[in-house]
Amino acid sequence: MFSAATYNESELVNRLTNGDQQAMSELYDRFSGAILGVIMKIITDQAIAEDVLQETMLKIWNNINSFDTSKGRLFTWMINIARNQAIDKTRSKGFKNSSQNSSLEDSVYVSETVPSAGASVDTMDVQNWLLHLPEENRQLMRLAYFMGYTQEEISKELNMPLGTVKTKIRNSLIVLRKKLNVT
Amino acid sequence: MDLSCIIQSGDLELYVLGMLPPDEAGKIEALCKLFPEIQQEVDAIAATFEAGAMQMAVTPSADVKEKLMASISAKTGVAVAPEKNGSPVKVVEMKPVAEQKSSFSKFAIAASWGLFLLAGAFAVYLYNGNQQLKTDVATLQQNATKSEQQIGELAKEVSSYQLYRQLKSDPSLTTIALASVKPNEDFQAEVFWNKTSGELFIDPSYLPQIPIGKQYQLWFLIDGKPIDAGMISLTNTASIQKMKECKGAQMFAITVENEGGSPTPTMEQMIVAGKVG
Repeated sequence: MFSAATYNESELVNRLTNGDQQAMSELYDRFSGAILGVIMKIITDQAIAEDVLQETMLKIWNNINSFDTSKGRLFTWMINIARNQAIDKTRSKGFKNSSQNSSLEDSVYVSETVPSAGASVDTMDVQNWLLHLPEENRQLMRLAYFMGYTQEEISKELNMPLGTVKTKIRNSLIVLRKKLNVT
Repeated sequence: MDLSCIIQSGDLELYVLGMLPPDEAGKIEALCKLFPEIQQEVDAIAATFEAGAMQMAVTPSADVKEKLMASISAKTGVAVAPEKNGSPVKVVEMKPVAEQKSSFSKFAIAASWGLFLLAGAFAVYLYNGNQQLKTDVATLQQNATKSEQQIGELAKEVSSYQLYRQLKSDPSLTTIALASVKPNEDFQAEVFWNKTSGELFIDPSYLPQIPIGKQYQLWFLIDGKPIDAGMISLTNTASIQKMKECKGAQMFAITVENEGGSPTPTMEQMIVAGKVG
């Protein structure tokens, strides 16, 4: 499905830097689904998630000159922007006033108990790749990755030693990576 | 260099997912530059998580693209200018920290690291040198103490020997040899006695080591009646000792008594004895 070899990343980045709108269109076609998928791990309401996707793509367009091809991969960079954008959204006043509850303890189970509107059964299953992890590690990963809490904040909030938080998150990532490699 | 500990630490995964604080991310970027193996690993991790993200792709509604393309064309004139609102700080996270610094500060950092390492190495060198000197001094002190002790012992032996010769050659002194009283033992001691003044010396250096809690006691006998001539020092066993005044002795004997001595000798504990010739 995805392969780094199927498109020329640096060429695409060059075109984007030069304000080539056609390049943006190609970028969108290639990555918007995946980016929305990441956003919807954090915001399950597809309408709000699509707003965040829009903001994310604009941010990519406007900040493409701060992306350095030699330092990292475009897609990873974009995913991280999307994630941060989504987390910012969940912390915004308007979002908090909506039905979503983003307090640390309560939000822990949200992404699993609330089915995302519009997501097919198949993608739901894949979305639950966190299920590969023991419950505690899943919770930590959700807080750290999908909710953007720093490891220090998680340590304080869950009353868990920082070292333990770090170890569990690291181990979770290593496990996830292995699982993703297999699938 | 073994990089497996870095590769297996989980830090690279955190870095790829943008979950490391900027300073730690900067360290990983520096490592990537130094070691192609780490760069490779980072790329592999990114590819894996990207593939994972692709798997959970959700197709957006068609109007999202339309809106996006419309807002882009409206903004084209200023497209290159960085966005002012939003949270640019987090975007910056992906940018290597080192890259943001001027070449001078890079040089300064490199130089200060160099200096730091040099200073550290020098401190270790000094510390090691100092430790060596301390050890040397301690050894020398030990040796000196040992030598002093040896000299002290030699001096004692010499003075003891001189005293012995003096006593032996003194015509006013009679030498009485004491020998083992039990047939299976072979111990000796010598008594030097001035019959007229009553001055009495003992050379106990050939007596066996005495058990703890016991002490040798010297007696002299007049008509078979034992009279205390004093305790033989426990600390000065190798040298000639001056004992109590003694007059009219016909025989000398040494017994093993409890430390501090007894008023009467324990006859079965007599170790050596000798008659005045």
